[in-house]
Amino acid sequence: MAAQLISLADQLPYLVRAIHALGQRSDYHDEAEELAQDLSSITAMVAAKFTNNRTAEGILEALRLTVGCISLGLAHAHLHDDAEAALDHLIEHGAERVFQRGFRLIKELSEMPEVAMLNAIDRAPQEHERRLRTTFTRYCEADANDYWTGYQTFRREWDNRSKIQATLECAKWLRKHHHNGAIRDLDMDADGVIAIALIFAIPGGGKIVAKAGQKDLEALLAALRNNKPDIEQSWNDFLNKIPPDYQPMLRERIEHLRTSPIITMLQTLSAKAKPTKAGLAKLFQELQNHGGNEIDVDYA
Amino acid sequence: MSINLPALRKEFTELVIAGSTERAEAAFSEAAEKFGDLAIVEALASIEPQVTSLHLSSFDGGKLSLATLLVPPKAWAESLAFFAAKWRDEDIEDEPEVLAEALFAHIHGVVFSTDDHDRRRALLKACAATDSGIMALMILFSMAPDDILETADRIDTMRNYVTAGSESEHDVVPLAVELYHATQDGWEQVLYGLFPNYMHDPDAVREQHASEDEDAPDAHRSTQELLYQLRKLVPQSKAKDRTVKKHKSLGSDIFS
Repeated sequence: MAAQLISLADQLPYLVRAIHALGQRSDYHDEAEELAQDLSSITAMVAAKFTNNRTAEGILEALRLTVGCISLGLAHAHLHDDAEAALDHLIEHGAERVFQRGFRLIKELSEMPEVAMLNAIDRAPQEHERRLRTTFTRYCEADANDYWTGYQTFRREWDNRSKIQATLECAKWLRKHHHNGAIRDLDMDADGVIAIALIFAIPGGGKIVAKAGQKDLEALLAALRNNKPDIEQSWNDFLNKIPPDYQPMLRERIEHLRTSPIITMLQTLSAKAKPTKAGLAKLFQELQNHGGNEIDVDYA
Repeated sequence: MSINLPALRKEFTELVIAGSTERAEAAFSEAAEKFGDLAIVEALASIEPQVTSLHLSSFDGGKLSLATLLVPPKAWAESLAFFAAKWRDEDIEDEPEVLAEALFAHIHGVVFSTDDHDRRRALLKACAATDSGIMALMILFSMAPDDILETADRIDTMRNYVTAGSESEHDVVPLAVELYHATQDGWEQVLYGLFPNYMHDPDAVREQHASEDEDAPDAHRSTQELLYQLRKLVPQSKAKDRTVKKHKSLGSDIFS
């Protein structure tokens, strides 16, 4: 397969390519003037709001962010990466609208979780503002004279965060349907909640457990010893109780869990009539590796 | 043969902007020979004031220009507003006298280039009818506050019979007297502008001015201060009737 060579000119920020296309047209004076004015006023506003409009450095940074954010807006408009189409789009809607679209994408992205955890700090208004700022500067920074991969980077991050968001939502659902009443903690480790739910689903019956402690673990061992359940069947029972939206993700987790040491540990320990203390401690430790903060360490 | 006024205006404007005052002047004399002085007056009246200013400012009393002789009073007064556009901060700061002298040479040159009293007075009247004209005259007078105070005295006593007096006076005095004859309002405006307290208490102003106490504040505004003021009055090129924008501006809504 021949390597594909793509010239730098085809990889510049989308806005820059659109401007190049404008330069190729025969009569571009009016459009160019309006575009130039719009771009400078946007840059000025970005400098005033996000960087520093009193220093050359701040304004230059604002220019880079403007180039990136408009390019993002253009890329998102599905124009098949075509500079002419981007230019038409830009002229038809105006640079400000395109910037706005890019900025809204950034805003949405900034509201999506970066990690699958919840804590009280996330809900503070300043935190909101700070996240918007960092997301904007991280994903819109673009050099007008260099390769631009802003849209791919943005999409990748978008996909990541969508997955994380789905994880969080699934964990929230599990907490809400905890077998003896919804759990209303402000903090949450979504991966922990899911791991616990899957481990404690092993005895079968489709019981939903979102938080557990030592006693639950002992009860789990007892149930395994007495019933000798078919693990796969148990998981199926469990999945049947879960909304279909969350099932594919849970199946993925089950794939990982199936081969993890905790399953074998559970099986060997439950085979014995009376597990040793050391064995129990080890199992509990392993459970903590999966459940994290969602495991109650107090013996209650 | 009829004169093509727009063509002359365009040629003149282009020559001046290109910095070629001599050739602009030559274009004028050629046109004057062909069509008469009136044609030049017409042309000068319709040329943009900043262009006129650029052209006129390269002439002063030492060099005579057809434009200086023929510029219509109103066009000249408007062009004065742009005189300060080229002044730099350093120059105003370091040598205000030089700038004031240049301004004086220009105004004096234009006003006294003619023996025609009516034209002189029309020029001064037009000049005193604009803010920048008043400010420019204040600058000139601020170069010789003593003589101006003295002239004010003489005007008070002699009214319409006042003339420029002895030869030891500053050159600005004849201009002041001429201004008084052209427009009394204008003269008073300039005087009160230069000595802010004069209207309320002329004696106190005289006293303050005569006082030898070096720490006492001046009774009159300084040349430098006035130069800054005049430069502030330079009309900014306004964003004029641009083609209507296709899109309504969103302003800071772009972040919403």
